[in-house]
Amino acid sequence: MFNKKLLLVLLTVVLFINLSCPHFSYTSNHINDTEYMTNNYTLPEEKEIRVINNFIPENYEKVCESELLDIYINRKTLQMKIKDKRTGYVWDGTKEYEQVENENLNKTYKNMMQSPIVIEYFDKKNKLRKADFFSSEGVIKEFSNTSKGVKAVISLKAIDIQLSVHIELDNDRVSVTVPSNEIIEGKEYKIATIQLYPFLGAVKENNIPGYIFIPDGCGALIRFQEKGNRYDSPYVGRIYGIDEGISKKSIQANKVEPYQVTIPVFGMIHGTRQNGFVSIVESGEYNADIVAYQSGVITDFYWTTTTFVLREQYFQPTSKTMGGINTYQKERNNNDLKINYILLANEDADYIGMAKKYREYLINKGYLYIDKDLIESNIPLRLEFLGSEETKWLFWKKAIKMTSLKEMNDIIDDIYSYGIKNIVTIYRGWNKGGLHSNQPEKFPLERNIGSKKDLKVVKENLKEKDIPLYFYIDYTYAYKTSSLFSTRKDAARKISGDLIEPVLHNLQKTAYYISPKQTLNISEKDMTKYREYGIDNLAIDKTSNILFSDYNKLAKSTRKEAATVYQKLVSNYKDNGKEIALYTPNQYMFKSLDNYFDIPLYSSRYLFETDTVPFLQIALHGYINYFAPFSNYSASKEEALRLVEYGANPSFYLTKEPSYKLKNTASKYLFTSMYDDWKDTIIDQYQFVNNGLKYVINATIEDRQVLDGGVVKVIYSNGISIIINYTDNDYIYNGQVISGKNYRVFGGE
Amino acid sequence: MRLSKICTIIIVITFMLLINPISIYADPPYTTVTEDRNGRLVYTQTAYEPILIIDNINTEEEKITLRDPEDIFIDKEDNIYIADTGNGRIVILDSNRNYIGSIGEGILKEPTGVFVHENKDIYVADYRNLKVYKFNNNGELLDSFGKPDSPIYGKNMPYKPKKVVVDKRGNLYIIGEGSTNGVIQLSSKGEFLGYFGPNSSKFSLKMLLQKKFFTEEQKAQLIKNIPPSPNNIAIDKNGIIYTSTQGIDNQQIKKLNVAGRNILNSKSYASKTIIAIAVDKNGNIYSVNQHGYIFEYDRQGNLLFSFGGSDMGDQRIGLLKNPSGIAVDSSGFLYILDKDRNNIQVYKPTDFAILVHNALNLFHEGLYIESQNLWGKVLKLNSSFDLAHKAMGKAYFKQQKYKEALIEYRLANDKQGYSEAYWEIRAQWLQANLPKIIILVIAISIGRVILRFLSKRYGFGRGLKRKMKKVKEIRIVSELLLTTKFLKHPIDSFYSIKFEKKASILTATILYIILFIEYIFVISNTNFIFSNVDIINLSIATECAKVYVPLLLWVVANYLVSTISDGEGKFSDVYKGTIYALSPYILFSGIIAVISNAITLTEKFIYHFSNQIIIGWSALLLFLMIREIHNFDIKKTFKNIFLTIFTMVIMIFIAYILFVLSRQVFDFIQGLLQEVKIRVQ
Repeated sequence: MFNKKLLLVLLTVVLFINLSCPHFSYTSNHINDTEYMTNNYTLPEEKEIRVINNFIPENYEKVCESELLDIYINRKTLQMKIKDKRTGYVWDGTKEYEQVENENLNKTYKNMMQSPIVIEYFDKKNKLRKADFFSSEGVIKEFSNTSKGVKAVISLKAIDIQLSVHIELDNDRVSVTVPSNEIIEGKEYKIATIQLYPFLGAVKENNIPGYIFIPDGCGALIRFQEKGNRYDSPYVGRIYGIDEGISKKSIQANKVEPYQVTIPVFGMIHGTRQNGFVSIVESGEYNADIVAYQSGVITDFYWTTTTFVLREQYFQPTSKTMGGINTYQKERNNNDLKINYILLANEDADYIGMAKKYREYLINKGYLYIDKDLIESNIPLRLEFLGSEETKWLFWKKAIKMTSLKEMNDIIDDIYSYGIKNIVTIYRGWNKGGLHSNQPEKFPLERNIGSKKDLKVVKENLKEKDIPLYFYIDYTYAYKTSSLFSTRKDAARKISGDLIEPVLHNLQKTAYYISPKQTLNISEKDMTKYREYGIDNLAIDKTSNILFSDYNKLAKSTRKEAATVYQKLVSNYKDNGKEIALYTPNQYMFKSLDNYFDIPLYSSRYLFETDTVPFLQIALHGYINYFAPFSNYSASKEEALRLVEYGANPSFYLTKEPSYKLKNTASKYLFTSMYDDWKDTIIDQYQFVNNGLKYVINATIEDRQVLDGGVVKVIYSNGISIIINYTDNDYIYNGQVISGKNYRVFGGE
Repeated sequence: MRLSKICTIIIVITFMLLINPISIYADPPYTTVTEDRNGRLVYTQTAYEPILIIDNINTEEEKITLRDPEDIFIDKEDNIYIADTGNGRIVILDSNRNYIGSIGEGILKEPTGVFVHENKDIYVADYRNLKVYKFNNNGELLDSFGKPDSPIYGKNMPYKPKKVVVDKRGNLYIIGEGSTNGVIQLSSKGEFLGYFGPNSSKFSLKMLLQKKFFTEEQKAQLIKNIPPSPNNIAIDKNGIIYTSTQGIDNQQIKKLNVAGRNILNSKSYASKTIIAIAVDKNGNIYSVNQHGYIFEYDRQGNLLFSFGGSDMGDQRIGLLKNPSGIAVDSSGFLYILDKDRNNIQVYKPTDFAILVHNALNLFHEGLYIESQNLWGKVLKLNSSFDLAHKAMGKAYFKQQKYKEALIEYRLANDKQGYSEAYWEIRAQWLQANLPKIIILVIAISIGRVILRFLSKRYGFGRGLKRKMKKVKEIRIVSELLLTTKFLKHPIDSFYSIKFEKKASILTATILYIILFIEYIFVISNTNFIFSNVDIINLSIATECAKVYVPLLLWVVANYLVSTISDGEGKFSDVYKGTIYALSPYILFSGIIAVISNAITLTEKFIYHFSNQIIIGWSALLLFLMIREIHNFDIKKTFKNIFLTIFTMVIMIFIAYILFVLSRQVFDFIQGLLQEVKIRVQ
């Protein structure tokens, strides 16, 4: 009996080794275009062998099945395997002892890889320790069937912790849930983090071809590679950004921070267009990390999972001079922990399939919907204007005018006269004192940009042309105390009791975060003013992507509660007939969104990343109107091509006055913005992008093929496809020439 | 590369303040800065994008990796040579980064420097073998250069070659560890030719004192005051040698002429932790420092771009963990060697960097007018790129468009250029207007004579005079006007303050306020070629402190000292006397500030001399004031002044101590409260 099992294992192992013999190196013959074979682009797919794994040990039993999947579970350990009936492929939720015993792993990792659950906990001395099912003497106390799957109660005796795991199956979706109220802790040991089936699909080096997808920027892949250079640490991305209510944001001089994780999604592929899964964290995502380990970081395995954070460690200062103690959150984050694994097979099994599944998820959740029956014939152009900004002047502060209302009006008229009719306008720095001055106090309008009357004139003019005018605001930062904002009552506080004072790049003044619970008061007061001034549309920055827990005793809120408040804030405005645009919003803000500004077009380009992919774009195109970040800083051909490839609408940040006037202000990063300098480029770039994207305005991205290094074909739902050629050389596709640094639209017309 | 310590500190601080901007364009993980007119670092477009990493090198048989590589060199055909130090070989890649071969295996033990001559000979400095090797292009050993036996070299002088370059004639320039005399220069036959471009040793007051007062034992314990030795070297197509030196405050990068003298005279920022340098075909200089920052300078040493940063576990392309070498290829791509990550990062110049380079090339070739167009484009893309203004100014100057030149030079803060352009404008103006001026002067003097005559004879303007007199009789006015009297009769005037009560506390206070206003006027209106004040960043509090703290200390200290030493003056006398002693400043400095705007650098002595007169005069008046007010003799007066100054120093010292102590107490109490609060919770 045992021999038979061993034989089977051996057979699979041998099969594996044989099949994975041809090594896949990504240095191809296109040497001159090595630049396009880097992680700033997507690599062309290589031919891959068929991956096979159909081994299910005998101590597993099928506990539930759908038309597409079977779930097998070992009742004694809750180890899991998922069989995809479409391909016959078996996903190892956990590894078997035989699979890890000969690996170069320490005992902890050998245990962890076999365990359905990995926990970090604080011991009596506040020390963080790791535990898994085996090392902490886990037993399945209870095992029962539920309507859609099974429920198991796990007791980890050694650390006196008990929790229940619900596994449910629905068509192609496996969900794993740990309800918060079913987590029972003893007195001594407190849970810090939980990982569920962390080694689902873990791959050693490149024994199986494929990759991990992580939501870094617009999306990035970590392809499985053979041993090469080793990197120091895994990818860890806190979903919705660092919680500044607890942790300090580490900010380093002269560095541009990596992208924040705005969507709770990750995934893995075993054999491109063969097998894969995409994971969507549905609950508990407000306090969770997405992690991805590369082969070489601690183990030889590639693996990816979500770390749910139940208690966070933090530093409690006791004096001004850095003295203090390390401690952890006393109260547990009370959220159910839930991940959905959607399994992908055959042609759906790649990052495109993942994005499409995520799109479906968003539609089902009501986050995405088509509400515009209006059909545009040209893509929109986003023009942002800086009205005025605060500067130091001799001994005082004053607002310097950069673009008055009237000047903005003239510029729009000018652009309009060149036949660019679909414009989205955003006005910044309209508030009293200039952009970074009195917020949250905003009214009256800053004197040097014009009066209420001027605003009316501008509005009428834009209305005639059907151009929306957005006013730039945020409900997160406060620069000045006023009747609207007092630091005692309205400012957010850290868990340590200190005020959250976000570090403002190059701004030599203190700023605070507004307590989420107080933002509704402020916004209500603003609402009447908006009405009075005729401010119809709002472009909300920062509040759209900064999320923190607040320990202000008068207005305490968790991240989840804060997110709800922000959702309400936006939907209130929406109910009042205002259009809302958000800057790089986190997923929970997708709901009431008319325009998405500053969509990431790149990844953070970590050394271990091998590709950048437009995951976010594939998920959103056709549903949400999204705009690229400003092109002022890099209005090159390559940037324009990237806009076309990613379906992103062009954006510019403009002023009437020359930008050097901003040198001593908080807007000093805006070193090139004068309209007269930029006019020609704006028109050129818009025409260039519009000529391609105007054919696919309401279509969704259905497929994407990298034909060669730097040559990409994007296929839209309306039958149109665009081939983009980043290289300097012509590319011939089906007898058609796509010239270097250009693109071509196929189909339609 | 001269830069005072304060400047460095300021720059470091600004560096720190340039913290991550809003997601501008998050492709590279770093921001790029350039230097503005005031030597401050300002944001600019990404100049170099990290495009790829060379780490696993595929040979025909296997994949090889580098081990602790120390140097990289790119030849004219863009072949890449890497001193793969840990593996004891030189790895050669072609311009497409494909493996060609490796040489020196079996011979080299610790190659730390590699250089390829025009004739394709490869020179390698081996740190462990203590030799410089010469290979031909096929990797055959041609020659080796050990320690020179010439007596001039010095027997005790170590010979530990780290880097090497070779000029057209085949002379070797070797950077040796601990070779404090400079670069070791050998002929093509290995004869010692001498030391080249040595650094000078530092000298400070502290050292002087140590030398004076330390015992022999103590002196022996001090680190020997030897000049730092250069750590890297490069050579350009004209045979000019460039060296880099760590740990010095200025001249970190030297551009050495044939005589070994530094011809780079720039005030631009350079890093103290510089690791390596490279020069491109246009003479632009590139350097990388320990913290992964990359700097590019033009051939005159002006900082063009600075970018990059340290990989502190960020693991992002573009950041460096432990850079060890830098090289630039013919298309301007930068290759930076990282000896911790064992890889080469390749940075590609952006359109913006290429534009700046093109403009610079035209400019340095003397094609000023042609370059102007490009500089215009640069300014369109970044209106704070002040080097462009400097070049534009020069271009206008060459075209004799002095007014335009003046404006550009002002924007570039180029004092020399501004002064020259102004000189031309002034000369033109004088030429055109000299007759008019002469006529005007004559007319005024004649007019004066006539007026005087008229008033004497016919009482013309008597009413006005009377009114003036009335105004002068108003107490405050007369007291204020007392300042003018000090110029003519200082001693009498102090007497009148002391005994005739001709000045009140109120007037003195008004004068103190006037003094401050005037001070602000002076710093904001002096011609910028004479002042280094950045008006916009003035803070009223610090300026106030600068003026009033010394004055207050002086008045109090002097009063205290004088009471002890039988001075007659009351506190109010000292208070009043001090401000009146500063009459010359109050009366004239404003005028000088205004006049300074019509002076060029050639006549700067006028400006400096008149300022010195004011200072000297005021000092003299202070002296007289003390003598008169306290009724001292000269000897006593000197003593009093000395004691006053001493007291001032003591007061500052005590204030400082009190400040520190009170802060500590405050911190302690605060910490205590905070801890109690936490524990109670």
